[in-house]
Amino acid sequence: MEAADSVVQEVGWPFLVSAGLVRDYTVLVAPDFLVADGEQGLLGIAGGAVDGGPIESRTVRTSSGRLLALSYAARLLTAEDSSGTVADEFGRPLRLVVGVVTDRSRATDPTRDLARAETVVLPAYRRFRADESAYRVEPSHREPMRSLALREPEGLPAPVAVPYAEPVPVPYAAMPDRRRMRPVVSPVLLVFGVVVALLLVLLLLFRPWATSGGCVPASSTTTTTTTTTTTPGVGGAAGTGPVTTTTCP
Amino acid sequence: MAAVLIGSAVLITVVVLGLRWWSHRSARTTVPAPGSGPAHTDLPTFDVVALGTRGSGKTMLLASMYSQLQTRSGRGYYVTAPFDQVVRLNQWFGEVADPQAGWPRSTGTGETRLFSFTVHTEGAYARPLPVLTVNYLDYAGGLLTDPEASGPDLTELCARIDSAHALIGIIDGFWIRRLIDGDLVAKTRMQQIVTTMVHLMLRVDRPVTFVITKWDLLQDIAVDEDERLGFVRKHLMHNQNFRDLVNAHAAHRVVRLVPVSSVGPDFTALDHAGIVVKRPDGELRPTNADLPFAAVVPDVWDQIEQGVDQAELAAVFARLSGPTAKGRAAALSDAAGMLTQAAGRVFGLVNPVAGAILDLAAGLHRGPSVEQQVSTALSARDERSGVEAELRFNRQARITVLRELRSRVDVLEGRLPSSRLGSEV
Repeated sequence: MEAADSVVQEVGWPFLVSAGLVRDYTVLVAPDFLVADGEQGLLGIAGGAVDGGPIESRTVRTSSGRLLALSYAARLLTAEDSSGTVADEFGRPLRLVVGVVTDRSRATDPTRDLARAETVVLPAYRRFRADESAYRVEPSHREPMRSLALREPEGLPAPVAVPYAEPVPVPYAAMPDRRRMRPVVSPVLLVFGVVVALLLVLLLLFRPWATSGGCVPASSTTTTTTTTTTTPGVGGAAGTGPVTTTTCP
Repeated sequence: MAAVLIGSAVLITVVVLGLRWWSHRSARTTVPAPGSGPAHTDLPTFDVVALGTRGSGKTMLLASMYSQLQTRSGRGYYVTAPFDQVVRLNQWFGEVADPQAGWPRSTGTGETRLFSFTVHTEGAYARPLPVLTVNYLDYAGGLLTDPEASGPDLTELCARIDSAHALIGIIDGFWIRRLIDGDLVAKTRMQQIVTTMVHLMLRVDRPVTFVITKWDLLQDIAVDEDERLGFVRKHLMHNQNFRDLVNAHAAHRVVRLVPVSSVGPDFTALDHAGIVVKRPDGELRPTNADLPFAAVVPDVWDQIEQGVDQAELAAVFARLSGPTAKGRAAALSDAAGMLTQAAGRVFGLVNPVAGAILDLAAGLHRGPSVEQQVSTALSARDERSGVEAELRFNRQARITVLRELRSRVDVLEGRLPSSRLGSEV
């Protein structure tokens, strides 16, 4: 069903990420197709939502390449949500992360969709709390979305969700400077040196400045020079240690 | 003609040797001598993963550790982290420190984060001098135990565990307390903690340290801390799986049991339901929170040295006090080669300590007087190579920090002999 040129209406699947008294945060309700493929863990990234914060959006890609859009929000658990305690066994507050999975990103506010999703997933959460150890992820089924979806042009590379960013220190062996730290003669310099030496030899041999003299250069002599060069190998320089085979960028 | 050929060969040889000398010289003068001073991006880096079940105190330990180490407080070093990480750590610590507020919520799925702590000391001209980096992973503990755990967080965690240079096994003091009090649930939980660690630690060949968190909950067991630790250790070693795990590692290296309280002895109490609550007048005074951090580097170094033929290494170190400067320089070079190769076996192709291998040897080697000999030989080599005084000062400052890290662990073992787990039956 199309609403406009740039937006479309579609269906979505509710999901829930939460924890209980004993069990840690996990995906408790997920779209039926993800549960069937055992890929509900993809929704775990929603667990990082800010309590009481705005609705957040992410995209994830299934192993079969299907791109899914997630819209979700987190809030603290209340006494109305569950008959049990609202804290875990260590006295820490529990939270619910409720969301919807759709094929396209939302173009309009999905607040009403999330409210609808909550009514779907809360009974599942109560079942979870009734017997946490026996509970297994429950599949959710398609629901019509009230919000509209972006009509994304096909063929464009879709954004891929990244769980988190991290600083990665550049390892010593991968540093560009490592190449310079080895006192190795550049092959170009070597070739250049050999060529210069050969030119000098030829100059000495033919001595063009001495043509007026009686000396006659040997006309049919061919000189072949073979030069063998070596480069420092393992532990070639004091303190350097073995040269790894890592290719520097 | 023969004379011309000989002459040309000599000329070529002279040119080649000249070029090699020039190239060698320029390599020495344009970049620091190997090991003389890694740039900030070139620091020895150690990846650590703390293995702990839900609620065991991994995140709190992290926040408390940073809080203790962010200033020098009588130490020769302090720790920094990227600004966004500092904000997060301070927020966690602030929430815990507020006696009127509840406990912060637990780490959820999708919140797996790597924290990078860089150890600094005071370098030449009182400038901050980075020494090394330790990376810690924070994650939802349920990932290790939940039968339905899957997805990117678990994939990331498993990859980090596989590539970690050291593992920390977190044992929740809360469950030890409950176990001592005769709680049957606690027995199941302790077994879950041990089973998780056995599965992940038994198959790895890298340093492991066991940390008992929430040590403050166990303070009434005995007045003497070592006696208390001995009591808890006896309880733990009573578990066949734990005993086997300890013995498997203790056969190759030192295994420690470190008691830690991220909040200190006067901050919490157990309420009537057995839940840990904050005391209204509680004062936050973390104890030993820096120890798991300090133990990592010496432990990894010990593993590197174990990969070297001990007699050969001792012979090389003995040559450091030889009569000639040339002999001492050669010994230094040989030591660097041996240790770098051994470090490569621990770290793999990308060796994060190669650039600082001699500094690490000077700071962490346990042999009598060897550390001083390495240090002296390095100074002499730096002087001969024309390394600037500033760089030489910085090298000594780094070595001092490494010695302090080693010393911190030694002090623990001296104060609490029960912290050293050995082969026990």
